[in-house]
Amino acid sequence: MASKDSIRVLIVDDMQAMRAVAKSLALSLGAETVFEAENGEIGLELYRKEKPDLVLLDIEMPVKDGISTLKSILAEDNNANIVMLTSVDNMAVVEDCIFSGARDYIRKDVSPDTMKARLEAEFDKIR
Amino acid sequence: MTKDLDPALAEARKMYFEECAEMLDDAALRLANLPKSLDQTDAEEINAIFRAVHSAKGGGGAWGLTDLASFAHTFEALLGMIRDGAVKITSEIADLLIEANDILATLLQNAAQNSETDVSEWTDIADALKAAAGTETPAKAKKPKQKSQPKSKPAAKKKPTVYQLAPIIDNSSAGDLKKSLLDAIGKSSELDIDGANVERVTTLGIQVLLSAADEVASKGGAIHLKNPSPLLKECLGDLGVADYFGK
Repeated sequence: MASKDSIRVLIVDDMQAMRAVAKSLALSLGAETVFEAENGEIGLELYRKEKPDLVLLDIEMPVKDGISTLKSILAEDNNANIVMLTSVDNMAVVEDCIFSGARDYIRKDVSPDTMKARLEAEFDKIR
Repeated sequence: MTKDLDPALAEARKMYFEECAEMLDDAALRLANLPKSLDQTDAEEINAIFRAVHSAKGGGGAWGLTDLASFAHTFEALLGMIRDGAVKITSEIADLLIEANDILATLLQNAAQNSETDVSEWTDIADALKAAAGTETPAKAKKPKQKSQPKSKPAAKKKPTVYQLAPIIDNSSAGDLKKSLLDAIGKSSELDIDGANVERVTTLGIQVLLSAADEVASKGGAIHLKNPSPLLKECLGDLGVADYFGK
């Protein structure tokens, strides 16, 4: 991936509180813009429109869940940089996402500091 | 927990309590309607309840609310089994879910006010949830007795299978690693993993190793990590799982 100074992030999560945490962390790490979607359907629309550098994608969501959204985005853009955002205990689900093309996953049931460190690692891969 | 949080995170924490309280209120309404339609419980009803509990659990972990996260985890496990069709909803289970939802709402409300909920208020229901899910409670847990090995052939004498880890364990190779580890486990209950060559490993790669260790443990065996490279050692340490593998 080409190195970038400005990172645009799309956060797809049904919980506003979780989006707020991820947004705050992304901005503190220097993200240029953060887009938010409350379900996969809106997330897919925003992805098409904004082509963000990084998608943080929740798994358990109403309307269109994370796995389905992951597959839809990748079907349209094979190079999409998608990282699952999860507190799912069932690692088989997370592995399924990775084997379907997600780049990695970040646990969200950890302290904001831990999550920030993981997010920073994802930013570093883009920069 | 609120001290030292930057204002945006403090606001997000507040939002978590408000949002979860609403979701659990909604779940309570859905649960109240479950017993009347036992046979035609709409999958989306269970999904919505599951998501409410799941969200409470995730935030509980994020904000260091250990009891809340633990109770929600137990509650979520039973809901997951109901969602997957592994556990059927009976009127007893429907009543249990209603009670569990109430307790989770109480745990949440107390945590929002920075007050603790007495453990005795929720452990019985947590035990009942585990029993309904078919998982045993720690207090009552009787470790399933390993089928005793014929004494004439001590299993410990058997030579462990040795598995050599590749230099790079990334997300694209983790799937293959999992398959070959499971093959190796199929051959022996004792598995030695040699990690001397590991130069790069992702969190998914580590997760695959942990799953393998669980798999072996479930068969009464053990997994031993031999000669971990400095990098592998550091990664395991960073993730707090350095002691997970037997020496």
